[in-house]
Amino acid sequence: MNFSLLMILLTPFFGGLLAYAASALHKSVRNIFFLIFMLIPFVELPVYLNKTVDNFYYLTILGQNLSLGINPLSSMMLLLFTLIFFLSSIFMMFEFNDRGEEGDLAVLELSFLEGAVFGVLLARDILTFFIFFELMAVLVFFLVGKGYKEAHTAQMKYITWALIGANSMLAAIVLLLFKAGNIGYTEIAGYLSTAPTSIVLVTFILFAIGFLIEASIMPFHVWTPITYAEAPDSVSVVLASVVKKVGLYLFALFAFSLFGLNLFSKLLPQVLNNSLVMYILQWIGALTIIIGTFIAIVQEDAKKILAWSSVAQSGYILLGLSLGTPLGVAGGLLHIINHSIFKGLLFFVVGGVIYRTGTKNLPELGGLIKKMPVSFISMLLGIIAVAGIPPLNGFNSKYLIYEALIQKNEPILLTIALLGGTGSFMYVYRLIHSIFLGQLHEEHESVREVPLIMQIPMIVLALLALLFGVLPGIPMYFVSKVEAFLGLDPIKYNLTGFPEQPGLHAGNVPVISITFVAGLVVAGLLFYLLPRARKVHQLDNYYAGEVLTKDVKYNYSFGFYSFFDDIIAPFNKWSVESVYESFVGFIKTAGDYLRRVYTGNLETYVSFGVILLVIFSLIYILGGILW
Amino acid sequence: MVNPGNPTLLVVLPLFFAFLSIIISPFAKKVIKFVPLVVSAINLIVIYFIGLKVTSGQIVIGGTAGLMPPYSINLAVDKFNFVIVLLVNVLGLLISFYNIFYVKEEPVDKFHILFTLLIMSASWISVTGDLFNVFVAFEVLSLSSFGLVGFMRNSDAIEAGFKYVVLGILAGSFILLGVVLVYAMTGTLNMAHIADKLQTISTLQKLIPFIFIFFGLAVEGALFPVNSWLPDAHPAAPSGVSAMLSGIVTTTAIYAIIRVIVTIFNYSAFIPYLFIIALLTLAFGEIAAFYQKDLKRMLAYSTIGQTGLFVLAFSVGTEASISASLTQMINHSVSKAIIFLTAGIMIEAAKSRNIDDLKGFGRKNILTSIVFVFAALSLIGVPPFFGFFTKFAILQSLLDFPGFLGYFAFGLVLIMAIVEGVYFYRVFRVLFAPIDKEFEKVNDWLVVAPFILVLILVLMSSKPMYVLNFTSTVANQLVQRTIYLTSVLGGMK
Repeated sequence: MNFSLLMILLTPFFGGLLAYAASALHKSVRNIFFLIFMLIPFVELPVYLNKTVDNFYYLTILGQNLSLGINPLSSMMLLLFTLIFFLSSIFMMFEFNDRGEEGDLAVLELSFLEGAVFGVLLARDILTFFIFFELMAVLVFFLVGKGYKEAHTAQMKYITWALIGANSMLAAIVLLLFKAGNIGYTEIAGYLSTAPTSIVLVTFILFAIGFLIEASIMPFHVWTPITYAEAPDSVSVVLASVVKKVGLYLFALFAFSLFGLNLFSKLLPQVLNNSLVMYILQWIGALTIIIGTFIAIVQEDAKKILAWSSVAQSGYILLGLSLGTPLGVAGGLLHIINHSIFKGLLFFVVGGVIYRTGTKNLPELGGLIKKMPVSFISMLLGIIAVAGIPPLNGFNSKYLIYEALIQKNEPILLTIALLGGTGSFMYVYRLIHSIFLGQLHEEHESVREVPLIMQIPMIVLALLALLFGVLPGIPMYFVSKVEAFLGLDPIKYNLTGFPEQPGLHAGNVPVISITFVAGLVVAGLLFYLLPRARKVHQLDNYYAGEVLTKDVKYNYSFGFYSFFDDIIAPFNKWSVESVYESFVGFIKTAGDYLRRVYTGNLETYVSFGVILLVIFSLIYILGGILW
Repeated sequence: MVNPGNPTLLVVLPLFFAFLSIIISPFAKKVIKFVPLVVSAINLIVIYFIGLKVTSGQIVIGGTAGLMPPYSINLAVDKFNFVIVLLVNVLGLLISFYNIFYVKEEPVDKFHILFTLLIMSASWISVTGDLFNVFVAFEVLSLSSFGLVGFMRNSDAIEAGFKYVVLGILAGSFILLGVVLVYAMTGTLNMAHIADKLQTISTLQKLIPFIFIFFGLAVEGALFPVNSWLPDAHPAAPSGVSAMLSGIVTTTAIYAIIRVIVTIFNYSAFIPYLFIIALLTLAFGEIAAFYQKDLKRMLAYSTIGQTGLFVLAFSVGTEASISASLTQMINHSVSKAIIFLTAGIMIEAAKSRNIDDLKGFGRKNILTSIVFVFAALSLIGVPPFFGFFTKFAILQSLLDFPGFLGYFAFGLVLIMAIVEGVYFYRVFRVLFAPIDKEFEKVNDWLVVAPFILVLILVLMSSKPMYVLNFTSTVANQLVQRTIYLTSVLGGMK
């Protein structure tokens, strides 16, 4: 029994309980405990970074061994998640500062959520991960409830989908246990390699439903926009950067480690050099990218843009992973890291803006660049990362995915991915313009930058995005270990880029970045130093004879992309959401009829009983014919 | 010297106390409140002594009138009886404690006397070894619960009580009819002796008496299609009584059905029909619960659904499935009791049974809400609570049912789990929503009983294997009915 790994799992739970108990003393004591226990996993983890440990602790339940273990994929994600949770807890302290008891509960729930996430990552059998996965769902349900006005709708949507996913996975787990007789990952993998196709397919689909719901892939994404948008801001960060990644982690682990690409190729027909199920998943990923991006473009709520953007980026990750080649999987895994960082960054910035201004509605914001410069720079770095432009980290992963698509000869998917990239630039530009550029609203005159400590999460993630962008070797170190663990040939990389290898031209990212930045610098110099450049006041404008004063809002904000909206309007009518709504309507009517069996009328009740007796008497009289 | 491990004490002592209370109630009204508590406590002591023998595999027989069975009425406690009677009295103890503070409507003393009789009759059904005893105990159970359901004497309670009376008396009459037919067939009323004699009678001949007895017990046991009184009666009763009805009375009735099917009639031919009835109960119960706006009505339908679930598990017929069913019974009784008790507290505070009126209760009364949430999560089957392991065991056993029906049941149980989850989470959401009104102050002692029960639940969740292993020995002993027969009939040889 390896106690230090067990301690990694238990630390967040202890931390949460201690912090909640400390809240009885004073808020600051609670905060101190909270932060300390969020930091402890940093100390505990590095020992395990390169190891694979199996079955280091188990409990025997229902005749099976529940075990925990660690592998390179888990440790990479553990490190990433510990960082995100820590930064998010700093933010949470401020966000829940004057919400009294709610804050205490939020602290408890966030710590337990961290513990549950760790539990899923450290699981070595299909029952353990499920137990912690369900625990995650319960905690997210309660955390989301502490958010904005529509949080209650978000809660119900989330939990309905979470329950659908959970029961789907439970079906697969019970089925596999019934057939294989054991729950451990290695034993299940062994069983699956010789199992009949129907079992493999059914269990994979059932598991995939559960994982993809959590990862907000189409068509299971409908809970994501409202949940991410209405949750408290620190929780949104955790949802987008951690909870979603847990779904993708499980998907990668199951598809490559438990089921395995060879199994799919063996049992299923091949389409264009991919097994059928992987090919379908590639298309699902591409669909998610394009639809997510397009819907993000026409949103008016800052957090909704980020939520739909998360959906789209999930599509990138799924596309990369389901390509199955070393290049594609590396791209997908790298994008997991990169997306957690830059999406977390963007949510933190937007959270800070909401903290100071009280609104997340884009038409109500504007011109905050002078008031919140640090947030502006952080967001600028964030949006460059989302768009996939060097020198930020988004470039590296997207580059790998594009190259992987080229290597696999998939022009249509490549076009969709590139379209998604361009589209993402559109919506992030909207975000930064509507919040920071343009005209400052009068009520925001007194807005200041967020408190210094609250700036730490943004700054840390922005610097990390920059670092990982310029020196991709750092995240690639982990990614290549994971690729080797998943059974693929890791792609070659070095600290500053990618050497020449099949499918990939040599790329030296710092050089590309410096060229890029140099280009910008030259453009900036030209712009400022050329004779015709002149600094003009914002209100110094021509308005066809009208007089312009400060309170007139001439800022272009509402309906920013209305022309785009008009273009895609015919397609907007097809909505996954409406399919579900009509399905729900049907179930409601059907259920309504069914429940009227209980009429409330005593005569009917007695007659039910009599009918039952009559049926059985008939059976008796007819000499047991129905036996 | 009286043997403390004599099961007859479980019946005689409570009855004695009940009659004593009736006599002294004009003089000492204040004391009557504590009678059910004392009675359950004494019962638990007796159960402890019985338990010492039962867990080592013996069957404890209690004879009466100085004669051994089958010449006298006897009580017999094997592991199954032991579990049920333990459940009855532990819940009875804690619910009585709750009732001391909860019941304020006059006449309080009569309430507690009826409650004592309820505990007594539930314990009696659980330990009896004589079929006619089952009828008598059933009648006492029905009569005491009729009074308790209608106790509040408002329009709801009277309507619910009336429906319950009609269906309950009908049920009792049919049980009597069934027992009479059995007597005519076999010439004896002793369960083991009947079982012995019925072995020579054909399946078809056994059908009519069986169906009468089954029908009667099914009314009390919340099975479709005769459970319709339940959604009216459980909400209208005071919360302590609802907890008792949902947690204990339904479980005892199902116990009786199982005893009749397995031990007395050995009726495996009926099992497929039971499967269908259980499926319908599950489906109708959960779907109806989904539409409810009244908290207690929703919980009553949930009881129906859960009963369907564990009877479904039972009707798969394998030993593993019987064990899973029994574990789920335990989980449901404890969790549902906790939920009803806390719901009672919430309804007292909000002065309304409507779910929306409870908005924000959780933010002020954290302990009560956490107790509620834990119990509800265990009921739904969310890990790491005990209910998860029982649900998992049930799902595993369902796959053993041959043919398409097994997979269909498997899928239906999972879909109903989603439905169940959604309507409970709806209540959680409302509990922790922002407050918009003031809540009344409730007696702080009320939360003690559910809290202790939740501690028991958490204890079971931390050591689920302990309970699961025990229930598989129970199932094992149940299936080997010859042990029961020879132990009881031993006197006759």
